Amino acid sequence: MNLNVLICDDSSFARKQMARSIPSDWPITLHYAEDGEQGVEAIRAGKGDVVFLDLTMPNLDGYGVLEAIRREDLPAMVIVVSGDIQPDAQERVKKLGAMAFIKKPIDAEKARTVLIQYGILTEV
Amino acid sequence: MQQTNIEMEDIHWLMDILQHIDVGLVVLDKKYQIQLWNGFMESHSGISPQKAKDQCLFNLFPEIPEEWFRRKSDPVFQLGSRTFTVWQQRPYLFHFGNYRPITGQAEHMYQNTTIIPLQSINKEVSHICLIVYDVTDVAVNQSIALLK
Amino acid sequence: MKVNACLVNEDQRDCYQELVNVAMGQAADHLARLVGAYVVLPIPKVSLIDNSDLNMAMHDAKRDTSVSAVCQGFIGSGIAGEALLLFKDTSFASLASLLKYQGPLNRQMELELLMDTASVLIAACINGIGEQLEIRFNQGTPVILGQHCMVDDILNSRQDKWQKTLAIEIHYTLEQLDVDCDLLLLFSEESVKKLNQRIDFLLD
Repeated sequence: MNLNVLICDDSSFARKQMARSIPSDWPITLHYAEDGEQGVEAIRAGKGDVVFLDLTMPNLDGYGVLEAIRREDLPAMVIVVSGDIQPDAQERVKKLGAMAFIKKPIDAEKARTVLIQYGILTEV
Repeated sequence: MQQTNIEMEDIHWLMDILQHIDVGLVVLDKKYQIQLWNGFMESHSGISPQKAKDQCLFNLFPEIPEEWFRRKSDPVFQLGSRTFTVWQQRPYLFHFGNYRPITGQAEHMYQNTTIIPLQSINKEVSHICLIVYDVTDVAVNQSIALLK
Repeated sequence: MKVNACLVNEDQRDCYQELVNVAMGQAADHLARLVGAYVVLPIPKVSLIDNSDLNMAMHDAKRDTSVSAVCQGFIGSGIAGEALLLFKDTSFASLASLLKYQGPLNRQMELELLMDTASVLIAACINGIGEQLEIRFNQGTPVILGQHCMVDDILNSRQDKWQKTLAIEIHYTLEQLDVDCDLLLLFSEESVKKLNQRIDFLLD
């Protein structure tokens, strides 16, 4: 059974950049969400075992998504991928239950490092 | 071998340009000790590069308010971003005379400055470069325009 | 605001917005470290505007409030633009205490505060965009557009040489503090064409 991975970002360019950075040897099914509301829905539908989550988004932002996951006790491992690199922002998302924080712009190297660090991807 | 010669020549050119460009250039280390002092600075201050070398900027030029200057240069060291000061904030950083002592209308040289980071090999900002522009004409013209 | 589909298409606009999102995050981080407070990040607004719209854009930014403004030209690889930073004048009291400035809050001190924050915000934002597009931008000396004036006064004295421009608006605020400023990045029409080529390269 493949892992369901969700990319939640309002920018189509950012979603593309994120998708390109995901290791190609990782057997997953990829899903997309264009804002926080769509993101929460997708996670509820079981499409977000692992979530790459942006913070600044319309409708519901990344913080809102993290709160919803916690409130509804949804089974999602969240990696925040954001341009907001203030130490405060990183602390806040960790407190809200995010597993890791990656600074934008994302690249394959950063994605692989974090995935291996948290044991989601095992190095071949 | 020829390649090396060209490079040596380049450095000579750069040194010549550094000496003769009509802009003040000062390299400072983290203790604000002068590491480079170009021809413009030497000419206008009367202080030779040999004498300026390793001197603390604030000792050599007591007219520079230390706290004020540190506020402008700290972000350059810490964040690696360049900062700017304009003559409206302070008419000058270095108290130099007017470049045109006979026909010039101002008593002293008005200056804008830019402070840029200089990275060492390990990407840390170990030095900063202070660039001093003579903007006396602009300042005088603007002041006259305001009076009218 | 009129969006000219010919100059920038939707994919390109989205890409600009994401590049700015990253760059303004870096700028916010620098500002946060300078003032020791959390900078609230908005979604940047990317649009193509013509001459008359600039008034509107700036009006939206700061309607009926007294502002102080500084602008700075930048250029790299033939791509030229200007950064405009507008501060609501009520911001300076908080800024002065955050930056630990002593003494009376007069025009002179406000000018120092304006220049200190402008230096950091503009440089970080421009460098952030430049890094992603592999352009090394030079920055000109900042020019003070005015202190304690209305947006109209700032624009009235400007020349209208240009027709259309790419405008990027970023509204920065500090959390729980009355500090409010707008950063506008404006690119000339010629520069947008060159920028688009680099954007298309990223989109491929």
